[in-house]
Amino acid sequence: EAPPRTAGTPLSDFVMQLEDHTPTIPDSVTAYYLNRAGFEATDPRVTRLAALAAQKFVSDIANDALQNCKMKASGQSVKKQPKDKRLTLTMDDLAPALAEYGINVKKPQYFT
Amino acid sequence: MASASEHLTTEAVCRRAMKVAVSLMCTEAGFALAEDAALETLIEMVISFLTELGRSSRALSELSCRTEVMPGDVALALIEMGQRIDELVSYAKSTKHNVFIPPGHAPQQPP
Repeated sequence: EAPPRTAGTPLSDFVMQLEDHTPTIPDSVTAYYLNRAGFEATDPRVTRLAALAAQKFVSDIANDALQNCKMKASGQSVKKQPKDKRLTLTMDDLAPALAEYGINVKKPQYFT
Repeated sequence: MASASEHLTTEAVCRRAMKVAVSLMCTEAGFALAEDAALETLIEMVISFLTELGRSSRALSELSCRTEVMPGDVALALIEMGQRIDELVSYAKSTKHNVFIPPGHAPQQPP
């Protein structure tokens, strides 16, 4: 069931807060890709809003991939589990996560 | 096109910066290592996302007879792309995210 819809904070308040929020993706990099699409941002807050949205998009996918990775690790028997507990982002984990977003990736053959 | 290095185009520089940023986000999610193919897929997707967002916001601002893109246009473009603004607001507030400062803007070390 969808959560109840509340008015929340107005967008203008949120955009004002972005002034002192630094996104992971540098502003200049975001601006470059937006510029390539014909978007000429003079207001840095607009660029930050776009960067934040892109950041959330990747984070959501990475989190889904992490759940897949953990599930796969717990499914294996104790003996089979590698000593190295560090988690690796692989195409096998990423592909189902992306499929949820309607993106079908095929592993390129002979790609190293 | 001027860039930090003579051998690299702006595109190559931006792609490298994006790789660092995406890697940071993966580390933040809890991964320690990543396959190159998976990382490149994610980079390709962020670029597609930003391109589509830019194109869409631009179209929306032009629809309103403006030449400058307003935050509202970006918000509407995000909604049309299926992203939820309220989740974005809570995401921004949730944690202290890692920040990757590009070399050109790195603060000067005190002597």
